Amino acid sequence: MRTKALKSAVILVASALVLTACGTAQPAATSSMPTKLGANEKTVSLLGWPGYAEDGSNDPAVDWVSPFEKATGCQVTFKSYGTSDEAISLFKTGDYDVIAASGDATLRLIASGAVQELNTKLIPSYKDVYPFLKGKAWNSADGKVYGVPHGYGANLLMYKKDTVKPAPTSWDVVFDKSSAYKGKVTAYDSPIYIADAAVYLMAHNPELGIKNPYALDEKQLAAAVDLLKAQRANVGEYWSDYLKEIQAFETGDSVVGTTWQVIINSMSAKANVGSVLPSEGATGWSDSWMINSKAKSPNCAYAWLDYIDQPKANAAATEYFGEAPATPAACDFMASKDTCASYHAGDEAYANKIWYWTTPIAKCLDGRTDVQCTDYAAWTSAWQEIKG
Amino acid sequence: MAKKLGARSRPDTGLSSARLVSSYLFPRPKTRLALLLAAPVTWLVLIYIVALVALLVTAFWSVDSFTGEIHMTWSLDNLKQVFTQALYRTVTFRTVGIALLVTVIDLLVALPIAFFMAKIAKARSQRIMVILILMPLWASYLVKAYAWRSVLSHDGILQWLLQPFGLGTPGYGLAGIVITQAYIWLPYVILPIFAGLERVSNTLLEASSDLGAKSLTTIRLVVAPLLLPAIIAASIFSFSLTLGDYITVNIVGGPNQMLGNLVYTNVGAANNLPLASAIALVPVAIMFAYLALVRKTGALENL
Amino acid sequence: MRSDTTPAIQLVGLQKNFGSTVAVDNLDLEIRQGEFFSMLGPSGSGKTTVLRLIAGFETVSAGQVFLDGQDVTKSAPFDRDVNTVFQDYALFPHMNVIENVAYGLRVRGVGKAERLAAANEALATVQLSALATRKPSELSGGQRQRVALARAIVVRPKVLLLDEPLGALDLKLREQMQIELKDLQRKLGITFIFVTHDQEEALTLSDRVAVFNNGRIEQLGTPRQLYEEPASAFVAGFVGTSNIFATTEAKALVGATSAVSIRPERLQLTKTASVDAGAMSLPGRVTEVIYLGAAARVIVSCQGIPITVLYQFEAGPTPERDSEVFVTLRQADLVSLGN
Repeated sequence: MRTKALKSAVILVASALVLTACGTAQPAATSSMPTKLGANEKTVSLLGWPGYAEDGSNDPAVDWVSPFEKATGCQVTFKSYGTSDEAISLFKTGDYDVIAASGDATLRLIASGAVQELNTKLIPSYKDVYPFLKGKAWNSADGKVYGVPHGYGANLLMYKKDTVKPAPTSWDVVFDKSSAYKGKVTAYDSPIYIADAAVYLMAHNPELGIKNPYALDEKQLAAAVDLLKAQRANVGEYWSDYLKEIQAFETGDSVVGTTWQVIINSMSAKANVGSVLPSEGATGWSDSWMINSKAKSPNCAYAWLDYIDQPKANAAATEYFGEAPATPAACDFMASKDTCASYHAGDEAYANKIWYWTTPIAKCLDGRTDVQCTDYAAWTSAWQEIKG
Repeated sequence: MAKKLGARSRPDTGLSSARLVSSYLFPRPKTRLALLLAAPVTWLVLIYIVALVALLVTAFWSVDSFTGEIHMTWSLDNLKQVFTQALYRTVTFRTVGIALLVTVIDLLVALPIAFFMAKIAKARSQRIMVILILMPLWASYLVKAYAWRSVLSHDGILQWLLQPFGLGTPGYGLAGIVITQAYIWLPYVILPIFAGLERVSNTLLEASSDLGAKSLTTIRLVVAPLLLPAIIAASIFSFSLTLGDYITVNIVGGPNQMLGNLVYTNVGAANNLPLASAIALVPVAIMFAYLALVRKTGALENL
Repeated sequence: MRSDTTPAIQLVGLQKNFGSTVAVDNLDLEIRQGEFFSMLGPSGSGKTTVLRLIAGFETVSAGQVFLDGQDVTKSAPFDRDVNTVFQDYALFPHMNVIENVAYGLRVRGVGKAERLAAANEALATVQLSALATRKPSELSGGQRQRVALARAIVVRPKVLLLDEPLGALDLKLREQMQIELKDLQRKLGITFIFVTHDQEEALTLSDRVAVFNNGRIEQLGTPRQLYEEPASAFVAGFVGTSNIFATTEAKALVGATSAVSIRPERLQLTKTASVDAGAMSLPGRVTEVIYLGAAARVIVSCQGIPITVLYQFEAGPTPERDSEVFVTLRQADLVSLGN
């Protein structure tokens, strides 16, 4: 381990030095925002959630990368990550031109100057994106656009139908009633999962006064931590690698827990799982594609951002992952006509009920000014403590 | 005549550059040594020492939790946090406990196997056994860990095997970590002990018996002291490798974390390299303490 | 020799097979109390195996081993009152000299003070008192040899087994140790069984010698008997140097009816044929002269058969190569080897 830690230490020290040196010297690359595009480079490297850039190698029928490569001549390399924190670490190596990031990562990327301001005039497909997805805290800052929307969705509750009866409608099966499935409960292994507990507390403990699961003061965070510590006793394992969760549900080592639509889609019929958006509401994501402020292939990067919001590609990508598309026209290209309806695509009211991942900061996101909220660092150490 | 023959039989290389270098170096043993050691020493200093120092230094820095930028200002906060917070104490004790358990189990399994290989097995079966023990090392660490994930599963072979006896798989958790780690590091424990036993010549055992010592006395007075350095070397392998593991924990450890996970989380997820460095110093310190302890017992003097 | 007639070691029908190889072949042997007994033979002749069977390191395939009249065939080495000095000394590298020597007493439960006193005494016997606190790795070969001896004798065994103990020493040291060994054996009065492939060593030290070949004893006797009356061509050849004539050669040269041998020092070179009664002279030509210091080894070809003669210089000028000479011998010196 020493060598492992040392190696990463060396690499990270080096990259950290580079980043700090450059980062402070030229804060954000706003001045370098292009006004017109040049010729496409030969390659572009993408970083995203699993299933965000399929080139047919996992399933020959699922491929929206190859048409892009043919049309633009940009050869795509794609790497997937398991948590937003991992995404930030990877993106900061400088190896990636483009990142698809959730709200809990985008703010940090913008703040650290890792991504560049976008000239949306150079992204023709952007004008057709749902207006309620534009100019949000997680893709814009000070009126400047840093990311184009990819799609959005909710974190769902997955359960094995033969074990978890009756079919749950509330998150209580993984919180207050989790002891019924002791050792077989699973949860998402990231500090951001604290927000799931906060969503639950919003519904069940109104006296705590939680208005936004990402704006928790000390007391509210402590309540969420207590809930999660109680849950910890019944957790069989935490997951961040989605393959690990699939396998655990297939073998029955996990029977109930939070999940993504893409995981549900991947489960075999034999696993006999069901899923539900519980009554308390849920956390979720609204993801954005952003360009590295020091992208090696900025032209290909712009081309990708335009491509992924074109109806056909956006339909393929979001339907595969199991989320609502970013652009209304995508619904016409979905393989299943029900998809848009089941994800409530375009339903602004529904979309607003999902608590999209965002980075908790000291200035309370719910507008409170009388208290300091707990920031992501506090959440991180709280999460480590919960796991023990 | 002999002289002539000698002169003729030597290839006539003339003054090739290789020859010039050789004849320059031949009477200069110190230069030879310096050239020989230059590369490895550079490697050692640059990659090893510098990295270790970087680790130590980084532990005193801090990080902006929002942007992930590292601030290079001196502070003892990280170390204070690691040494005072209950979380780190709990995880350290758990990690050391697992590492000790893995080491003890590996030694208990390895000693009879190594003894059989070194002192009982015929040359042929000894070779076969060495190959069998080395074989798992050809497989990737991840493959082995995932194999154990499937073995330990409630749907797995262990459950199927133990069910008739009213038992079941321990599932994912501490027991799973110990079993998997003990399996993965076993070759690293068997081989040094085997090598150590090979060095304990059979005539020493015969001499002891000849002088009136029964088998257990021979093991206690002759085999054990001679084998101690090998056993310690073996235990350093299993102990330190387990101490630093974070992959097996993720795969078969259920919800538990070890020190390695805290380091990994802080580097990979929380992007807090200074805190990760501070945590990484814990296993380093434990290993130093272990080596000091070993040195104090004098077990290394017979090496 | 002691008056006690119970043999120190008695081997009855001893057999040891390693797979299909017969290492010891139906061996019967009695070794007397207080005897310095040597087992001599080339490597692979079975002598070391016999020693290991006596010590108990190997189990017999058949037959019995008696120690002082008691059947110890099935006893473990630690239950046999014999001790071994190993060829590689087998000193415990993690113990110093005194600890090595006291080991046998330690495992017998002798108290610390008592065993250290005994060990010191044993060390004094081998003149190593000064090195008591050294580690074996800090000793020379000869010193290790003495430690091994002291370690074996400190427990006062009935029989001491020595497995080529001097094999690793250089010539000078070996000769010195031979004298000391003999001395030690006289002082202690215990039976020594000495395994060696060095015939000179065996002859120098032993009361009796058994010559081994192919797992059997070719001849058992005093050194003098072996030397002067070898029972077979193998013994004649292995013990000292001999001129050995096969039956046809013996017939042609000296008119004997069986194979014969004669020692080189029993032959003389003369310019003329001897006319003495009981003597005979064989004409031949000198083919090689090897200078040995006090004497020369002269090889004479008689009827095409090479004969080795040990030529003492006082007997006249050195014969030269290609000179014609007579090899003169007394018929009484010819040893018949049977067939």
